[in-house]
Amino acid sequence: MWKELLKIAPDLIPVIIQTVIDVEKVVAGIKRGEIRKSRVMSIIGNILDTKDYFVGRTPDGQLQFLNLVSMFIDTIVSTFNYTGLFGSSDKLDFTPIPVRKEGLDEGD
Amino acid sequence: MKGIRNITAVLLIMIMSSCAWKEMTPATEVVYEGELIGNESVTYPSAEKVLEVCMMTKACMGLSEYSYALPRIRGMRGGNAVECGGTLKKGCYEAGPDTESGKSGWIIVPEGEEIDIIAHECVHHWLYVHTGDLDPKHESELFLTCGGSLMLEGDSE
Repeated sequence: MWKELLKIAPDLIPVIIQTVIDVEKVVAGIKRGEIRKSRVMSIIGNILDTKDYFVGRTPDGQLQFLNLVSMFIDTIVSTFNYTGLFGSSDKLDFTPIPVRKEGLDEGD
Repeated sequence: MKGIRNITAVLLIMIMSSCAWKEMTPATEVVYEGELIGNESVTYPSAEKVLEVCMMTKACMGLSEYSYALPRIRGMRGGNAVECGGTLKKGCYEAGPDTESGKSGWIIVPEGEEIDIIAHECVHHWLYVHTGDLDPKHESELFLTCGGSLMLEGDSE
């Protein structure tokens, strides 16, 4: 997969890695759960259009190219997850917090 | 090509630094035990985030449409690892007796470790309730694509 992508579009590899990193940086906090691979794919798709990567390719060829990009993104994400590159700084805290029940008045 | 070399170098440094050896010590004191979000009488500061991460993992695995029971969690104190199948690990998932009862399993984690470990244990959980196999050998690619801090897969919005 690396070889194929390197052969077809070597300059695209750093762009894909950078896009994955950028998406991670921009969509932070609670929104992180809503990050979609389609967002990365959409950005890459726009780059592909503007840089004429699709010129001269049949629809099947374009699809094959996008599949390669998709597989490459999976590999990048796996690498980042394995290395903990974007590891959360949040630590697990199990300090007990009593739950106040509504409707119950508390007093001394 | 220079860009690729630079990125590869950065990745290598990151991989090497992440492999720094850290001694594991067993956490033995149970601090919290119960539902992810808290019990009727008590909850804990990380509850909301833990629930969010586990639900994100479920979505990442493409299982949002299924109404499977959430795992329960046991938070341990006194060390940075937990006993799991005879060895010390950063986290552990213990499957329940069956998938029908709703008592589907326990996530056991030490306090003070990164919340990302919850994503990994939740992959075990969702695999177990969905397939009946919690994949103890980590053969599923989902551990890498959904079991960390990055989750780019998922159901469409």
